[in-house]
Amino acid sequence: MDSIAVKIDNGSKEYFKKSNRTKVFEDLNLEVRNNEILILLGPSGCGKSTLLRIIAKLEKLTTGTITETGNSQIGMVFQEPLLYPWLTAEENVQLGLDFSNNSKAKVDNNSIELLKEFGIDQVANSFPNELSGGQAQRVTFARTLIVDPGMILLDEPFAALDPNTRSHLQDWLLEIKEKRNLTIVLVTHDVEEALRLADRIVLMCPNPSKITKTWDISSLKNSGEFDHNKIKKEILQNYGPTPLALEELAQ
Amino acid sequence: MTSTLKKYFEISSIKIIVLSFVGLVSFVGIWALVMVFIDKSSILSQFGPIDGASAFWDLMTTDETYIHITASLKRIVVGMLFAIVTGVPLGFLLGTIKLFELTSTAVFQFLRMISPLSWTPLAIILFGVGDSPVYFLIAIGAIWPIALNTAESIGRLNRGWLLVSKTLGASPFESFRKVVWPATRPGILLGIRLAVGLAWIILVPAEMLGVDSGLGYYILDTRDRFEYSELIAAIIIIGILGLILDILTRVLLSSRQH
Ligand SMILES: Nc1ncnc2c1ncn2[C@@H]1O[C@H](COP(=O)(O)OP(=O)(O)OP(=O)(O)O)[C@@H](O)[C@H]1O
Ligand SMILES: [Mg+2]
Repeated sequence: MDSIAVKIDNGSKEYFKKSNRTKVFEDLNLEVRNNEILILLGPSGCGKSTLLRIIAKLEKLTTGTITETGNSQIGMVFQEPLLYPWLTAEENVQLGLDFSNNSKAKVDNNSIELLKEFGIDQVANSFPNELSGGQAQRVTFARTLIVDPGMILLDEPFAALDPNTRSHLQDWLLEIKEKRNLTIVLVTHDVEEALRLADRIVLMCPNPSKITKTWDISSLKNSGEFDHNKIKKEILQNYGPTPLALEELAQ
Repeated sequence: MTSTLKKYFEISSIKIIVLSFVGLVSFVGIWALVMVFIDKSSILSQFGPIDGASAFWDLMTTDETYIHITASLKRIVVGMLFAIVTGVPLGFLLGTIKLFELTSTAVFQFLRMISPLSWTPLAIILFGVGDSPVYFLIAIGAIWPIALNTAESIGRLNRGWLLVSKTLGASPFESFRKVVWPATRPGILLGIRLAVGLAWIILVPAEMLGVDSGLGYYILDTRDRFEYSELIAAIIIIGILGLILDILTRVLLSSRQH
């Protein structure tokens, strides 16, 4: 249960553009455990998306090491849906099966069944611009999951949705996580969402970004010490002086 | 393909067809009316639609006409092929390599604004007389819409789409085939469509130089023979073929897949 899927040691990331140097984060130590939902929480610009791209191997650390023990594929749901507008919902979902890397998944998975499971089979033939935000997000999840990733990285997947749809999809995410034994790293701004979904919460703060604090929510829950309001307050106090945090703290 | 055809003809509803027909008939009517007021002894009086129409039917039943049409179409096809095989890669380079785009844009905008026919003397020095300079003139005119539209469609390509395919396990080649190509295809096809129209316009004057077949050559030939009604007929053929070419490229190169 607690075996480690990804480990970052002393990671730092800088972007160089012309004479500009942006230090996104430094001295970052992070581990992702198998079958957990790890929440990355933090204010805008602190490097959450960058960190996900690094875990997904789309970018490299500037210094430090990243070790990935699992050999299964890492899926990613980006901050925007990024559906291919020239493909229908079903064709978007199927796309990954066309890649030679995924010949095994091709045998095991069937896009229509996946669409049914995700409650979007009725829009299988719709194009992305004809989908609602919630439907589009389910389609991107189906597209990511059809190639059987062992771990998925979710970048604010529910941020653009209305509260009802969001809460619905949060439950749904917990369900598919159990069913598919997924390891999930999820980025969010939303403290309530974090508390609802997390096994562990990692808080990042900017300038230069580091991990400030970690809460092991599931072991707190297991030992009966979990106090929703207390942890929420702790998180907000460490969140940094953003208007959002102050406002929520005042409530 | 059939669905593309259907889609195309669905857009041009009966109403559009009827109105186009009315427009054409009125155009010919006004033309005939103007001819009524032209002095019968003047050469201009031979440029009327009625003489033109009868010469048109005569031409359409003459084998020689088809030799000219085939020669012209062949030049369009070959010239366009050259324009495509150079224009599309050039567009990809322009769209992908920022430095290349920045250094070359001024040069290309400059070259683009030169009428392709200005290259005629150079084309003849380079390629002699015959078909080759005509291919060259068509290609050098048609390359710009293709290259610029290709480059623009690559500029519009969402970088995120490539990150998605990469996380789905695509190799660079698979990403190209499944993402870059379908995303840029409509822009490339639009460029080719514009280029075909341009090529057709360049063709006729280009064929007035040093070739002995083709519709451009034929226009000069009718002039030299003082067969002005045949000249009008040749112009009608050029117009009709241009129209057919445009409709064909629209249908064949329609960018919708579904
Ligand atoms: N490709 C890039 N080139 C240069 N700078 C970048 C690049 N990507 C991100 N940055 C910078 O890195 C910092 C972190 O960006 P990132 O997108 O990771 O933040 P984030 O925590 O995801 O923010 P948000 O919550 O708003 O999505 C920002 O200052 C951003 O400007
Ligand atoms: Mg982000």
